[in-house]
Formats: sequence, structure tokens, C-alpha cells
Amino acid sequence: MTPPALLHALIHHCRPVIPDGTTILQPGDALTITPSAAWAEFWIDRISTPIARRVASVSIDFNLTINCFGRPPTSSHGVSQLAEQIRLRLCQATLTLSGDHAGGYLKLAEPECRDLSRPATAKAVGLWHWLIAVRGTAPG
Amino acid sequence: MPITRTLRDGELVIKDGANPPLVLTVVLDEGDLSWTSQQKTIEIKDRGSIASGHTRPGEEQSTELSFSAKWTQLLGRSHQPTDPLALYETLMFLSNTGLQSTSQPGEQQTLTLEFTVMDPAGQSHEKITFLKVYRESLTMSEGDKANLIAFSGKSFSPAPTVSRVS
Repeated sequence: MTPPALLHALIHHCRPVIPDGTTILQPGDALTITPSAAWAEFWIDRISTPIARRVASVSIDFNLTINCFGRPPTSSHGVSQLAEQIRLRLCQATLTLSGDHAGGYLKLAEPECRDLSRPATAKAVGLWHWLIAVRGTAPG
Repeated sequence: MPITRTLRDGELVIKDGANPPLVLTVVLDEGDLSWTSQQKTIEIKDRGSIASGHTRPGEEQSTELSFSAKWTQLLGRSHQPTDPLALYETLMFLSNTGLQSTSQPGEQQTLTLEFTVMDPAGQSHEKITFLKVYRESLTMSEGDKANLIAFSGKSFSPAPTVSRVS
């Protein structure tokens, strides 16, 4: 699967838990953040092919990183809640694939959540930042 | 410069004793097939002296081999006749698989293992055939990335047959 196809499937899976008004961004998207209160950036920042026989079916390992941002009127609690909802949605999820990879599965492991809000920045600009990282496997 | 072979160049296939044989290609194997051929020698020393002594061929030894593979389903054809064979049910000779031993009735149940090593240059592929392979142990384990079957057994022959294939 290509990174855009992976992102499409993963964002589609997370959309039900992302509140209305939260912008979802992919690599290359441009957003003027001034009017935005909350946004989430979805990245596939690593794809690797495990060592395998040449005759074996190809699979890939990947890392999905989601950066959740928020600023007033969104509160720190609001951004951490967004991150938590996405974490629960992704934890050990198995996604059934359609289209080019119909019949295949996208499997996710256990995510890690980190609060990267810097107090000085938060006080000055009011920017909250949570990061969610999860690895997964998908058809090659 | 010669090109060394690696685990990426191998393919392991299991066949039974039917004609034509049932064939299972082990697609999820870990690439850790290992086999050991042993040779026993009887040393006869003349009153402790090697210089005056001699050797005789000892008893023939069968070939030890082992490999491991990831597993998905343990049961395939033994559960549903239209499903493909699964590795576990094949190595365990479960009923309803239709598998036949490569040995005579009454003997231990055995299979044939064919290990093909592809030449990256595409010219000198080799097939290593292990006859009359019987199971000594099968270890099943869980893992973070994959559950594993580990097979350990013997081929009732002093060494595998190695041949070139085109």
C-alpha cells in the first residue's frame, strides 16, 4: 500500500471520533491556523519491508504519527481528550481493506501518547500539542 | 565475484506420499531452515597408538533438521475439505487432511521436504530434498509480531539429495 492509501484508510477509520470543527491535515496540506481552534496532522513517517523469502507475499511495517494541536478557545483538556479518543480508536485495530487491496487487512499495535505542550509556549501563545504514535502492518 | 545465497533465496515445500502428492508451500517460514548431517567413525588404536591404528565406517546417522514459521490458522483442510492445507495439520498428520505417509504402512509417518535455493543470477537453482522426514518435536509459541511454529525432526537418510534445477 502507498502512504496516501494508508492515510486514507486510517483517517477514514478515525473520523467518527474526531469532533466537528477539528481540521484533519495530511502531509503537504496548508492551513492558516489563525481561525482554527483544533487540528490533527496525520503522517505516515516510516515504511519498512520486513526480511522475508522472495517468494513470500509482501507486507510492510509502518509508523503512523498523529499530532493533535489546539489553541483557545480549545482547552488543554479538549486536546488531550481528542488525543485519547484517537488512541482508543487505533489501539489494536484491524481494518478490512477494500479497493486495490480488497481482502487484506491493516493491523495496528498499541499506540503511545505524549504531551508535548511546552508550558512557556502554552502560556504565551496558548498552543497545546499531543502526539500519538502507533506502528502497524499492511499488505505491501 | 560469487553471489552468496541468503534466506531470501529459499523456498520450502512439503510433499506427502500420494501420487500425485499433496503439496504445501511454506510461505510464512522464518528463513531459519537448518540441517546437520553426521558421520560416525570407529577408531581402532593399536594399544593406544593412532599411528598403528585404523578407522572403520561407523553406523549411518540420519539427518537432523529444523525450521520455524509464522502461523495463522492451525486447521485448514482437516476442518473444511475445500480449504488449503495448513502447516500445523500437515506436520501433525491430522485426520481428514487426506495426507499419506511417504513410508510403508506400520512405519512412522513421514513426509518429503524440498528446499529450493534460487540463484539470484537465475541460472543455477538447486533443490535439496529431504526424504522420510519424521517429526520429533513441534513447539508452538506466541509473539508480539507473530506466533511461531518450530519444527524439529529427522530425515531417515544420511544426507539430503542435492540437484541442480533449471
